[in-house]
Order: sequence, then C-alpha cells, then structure tokens
Amino acid sequence: MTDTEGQASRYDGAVLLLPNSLRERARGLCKTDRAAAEELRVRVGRPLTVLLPSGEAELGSERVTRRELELLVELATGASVHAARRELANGYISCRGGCRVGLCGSVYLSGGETAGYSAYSSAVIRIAREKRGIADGFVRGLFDGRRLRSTLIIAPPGGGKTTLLRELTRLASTPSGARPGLRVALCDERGEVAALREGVPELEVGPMTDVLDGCPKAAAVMTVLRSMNPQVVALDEITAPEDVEAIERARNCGVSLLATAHASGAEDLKSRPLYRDMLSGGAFERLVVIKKTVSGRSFEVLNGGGEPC
Amino acid sequence: MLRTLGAALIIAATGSMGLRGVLALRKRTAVLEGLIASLQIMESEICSRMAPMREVLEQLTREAPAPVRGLYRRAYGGLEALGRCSFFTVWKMAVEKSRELDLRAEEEQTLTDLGLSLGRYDVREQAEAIGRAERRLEAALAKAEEERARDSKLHAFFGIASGIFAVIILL
Repeated sequence: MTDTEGQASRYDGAVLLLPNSLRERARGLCKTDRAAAEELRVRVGRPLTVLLPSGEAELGSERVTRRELELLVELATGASVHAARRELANGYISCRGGCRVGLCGSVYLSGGETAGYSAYSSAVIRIAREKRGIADGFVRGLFDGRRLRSTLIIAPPGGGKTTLLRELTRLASTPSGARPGLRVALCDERGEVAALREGVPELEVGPMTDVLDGCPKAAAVMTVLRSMNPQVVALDEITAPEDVEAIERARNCGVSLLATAHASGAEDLKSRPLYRDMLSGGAFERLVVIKKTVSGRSFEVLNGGGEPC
Repeated sequence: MLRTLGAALIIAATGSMGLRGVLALRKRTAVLEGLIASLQIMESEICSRMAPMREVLEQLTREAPAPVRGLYRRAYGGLEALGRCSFFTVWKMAVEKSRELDLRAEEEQTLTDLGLSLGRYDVREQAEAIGRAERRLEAALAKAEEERARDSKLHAFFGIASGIFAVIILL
C-alpha cells in the first residue's frame, strides 16, 4: 500500500465516526484530497468541512444538526460516555486508528472541574497521519553513534508533532545499518501515537517499541522506567510541571527522551517558564522545529540551546 | 372403552391447559428474576469496571440468566446500527422484539426508560437509572410471586375440574 493509499484509507476510517447522514458527503472527496485531509469539522448549524493543506473546505451545503453531532459522539464513545469520562473531561475522545475527536459545547462541572458536556456545539475529527520518510533528511543528526540524542519536537497545534514523533519512534526502534534498534518505551496517554488495539499498535511505531497508553504522562514515564528498562522514552505534548519533573527523572536514569511541545519556535518555547528551566538544564540536546510551508512541512534542527547545528 | 379413552383425552387436554397456566406463572417469575440479576451484572460492569456498552452487552449475552439472554443478544447485534440511529433506539427495538419475555406494558416501559440513560451519562446517573429499573422489576417480581402462589393451584385445579365437568356433561 502506498503512502497515499494508506492515508486515504485512514481518512475513510475517520469517516466511519460520522453519522450515516454525513458519511456520503465526506466520501465524495477525491483520493488525493482524502490522503491530504487533516481534519473533519462538524459544527451544528454549519456545513460539514474538511481541513486540507490549502485550508478548510465545505463538503456540501446541508447544515449539520444537533442530533447528528450527538450521534457522532455516541459513535466515538461506543455509546459509553462513562468509559470515556476522563478523556471527555479533557475535551477529546481517542478512537480506533489513532483518530481523535475534539469537542466543544456547554460543559458541566463537578468539584470545579469539567465533568462532561450538557450539549455539544462542534467536533473535530483529527485524522492520524503516518508519514514514513519525513525525517530521513535529518535523522542521522539526532544520533550520537548508537545513542539517540534527547530530542524535543516543537510546532504549533496541528503542526504535525505527533506524526513526526511517531516516525522518530519508529526509526529509533528499527535497526539501521550498523546501528541496532533501541528499546523505546512510548507513553501514549491519548492513544493517538500508536493507536493500540487489543495490544497491537495500529500505527507503525517500530519493532522494539513498548507502548503504555491511557496513563497520564508523568505516571507513565515512571512506570516504564521501573518496568521496561527502556533506552528511549517517547511522550507526546509536555504541558504540565509534573511532565517536566518526570522528564528530569528519566534523564537522571540515563535514558534518552523523545518528546513534543506546543510552540511556534525555540524562542517562543524559551519565553515560557515551564520550558525555560527544562531547556537551560540541558534536558534536550536537539530541538526539531516544524514549519508549515506551501508544499507541506519543513524541519529545522537546532541544538538544545536553540542554536542551529 | 372408547368412552373411557375420550374422557381421558378431554381431562388430559384441559389439564394441560391448566398446566400451561402454571408454567406461564413460573416463567414470568424466572424472567423477572433474570432481568434483575442481569441488571446487577450490568451495574457492576458499568459502575465498577467502566466497561464500554459493547463489552457489557457481549458479556450479558453469555452470562445473563438464560430466559433473558435474547434481549441482550438483540441489543448487542443492534450496535451495528449506531450511526444510523441512536443507542436508545437500538435498545428500545431490542426490548420490543423480545416477545419471548412476555413482559407486561409497565415492565416493558421500565426497560425502555432505562435505555434513555444507558451509555449516555456518567456512572452515577446510570447507577441511579439501573437501580430504579431494578426496584420496579423487584416490585413486579413480588407481585408475580404472589400471583404464582395464589393462582398455580387454581390453574391446575380448574384445568382438571373443567375436564371432569365436560366429561360428566358429555357422557
């Protein structure tokens, strides 16, 4: 299966999260656009749209109803809101194939925290992307002999961080020439990097990768350090002080790190206290900054201090 | 000889009608007991294990008491229709199609109402809805047991007595 076919089939999988009344509209897209589609957006009272590299495009003119959005949530949760409560409290639902459904609407609180939604107003289905070869141009620079240099991937939301993390995880875990594969422990809190299903990753993360999903990142890092003897710990989206703490502990155990963070660039990252201390402490030896271009994405590799290398 | 045989057949026929009445009363209590037991399994699976509905229903098709498994089998099979219709519709259809349960209107309504909460709300709300359904079915079961104790002997007696009466009249 070519990359285009694979990506188009992942789009087709994401379409199955839509209620039947919206599926035909989504299936009307040509194969090239299906392969390039990043998101499907469903807003009550507005037409269904697809996010392509060129921007958001409407799929038909019929307006999405509230009932259709409720059916979407029911499909995404498998009619089991209780089973997805922790994710719903964070505003998303992880689905098969690594897709993620983000939600907006009216929330209700319990103990001062989001407990669920009393009404939904919009949803976004983010389509998992598997792009083999995107890191071929710079991956050698991330290795120091057989060891992976601790690397932080930086991009704004929707910039392709998870896709690159998946690819780097796969590459680190796969033997290449004289370099043996490394034991990678992937802490996949939202289940969208490996899309584990019945113990088997639906997305390729390499032959020597052990996946722990559904567990909060900070706890997951400590668990894999204790139980899996990893050479590399990979985790998506460092967002909280406890994530930074866990990274520091992993580093003290002599483990390489592969992680992602929301930022437009190294300077943006350094301007935030949470990341500033982490970077100045030398937690990461390489920063990979993803930039959107007309033709797709470009990658800039910097040293841990944010200087070109 | 022929008369004796005819009389025996008449008594056997009316007697079996009485017996059917007795069995129907017994089946009714078994169904209600089965529904209550299966709702208890459902409650612990949803509230303690947070199992998704697909797993809960699949488990109940195997582990629920035999008289009520058909209901869960239909609901489980109906999950394929999600996307075309809501889970509530799937559940309601399963209840309506489970004619073999011989439920009375209020019991059918109790189960249908439960579908409004299943899988849709958090565990506390679902536990309340399941508990409510259990209480209603327990009340129905208490009545059914009362009816059974009261009417079983009556059905058997009238079955045989009406046969004997018919034989006396006819002979």
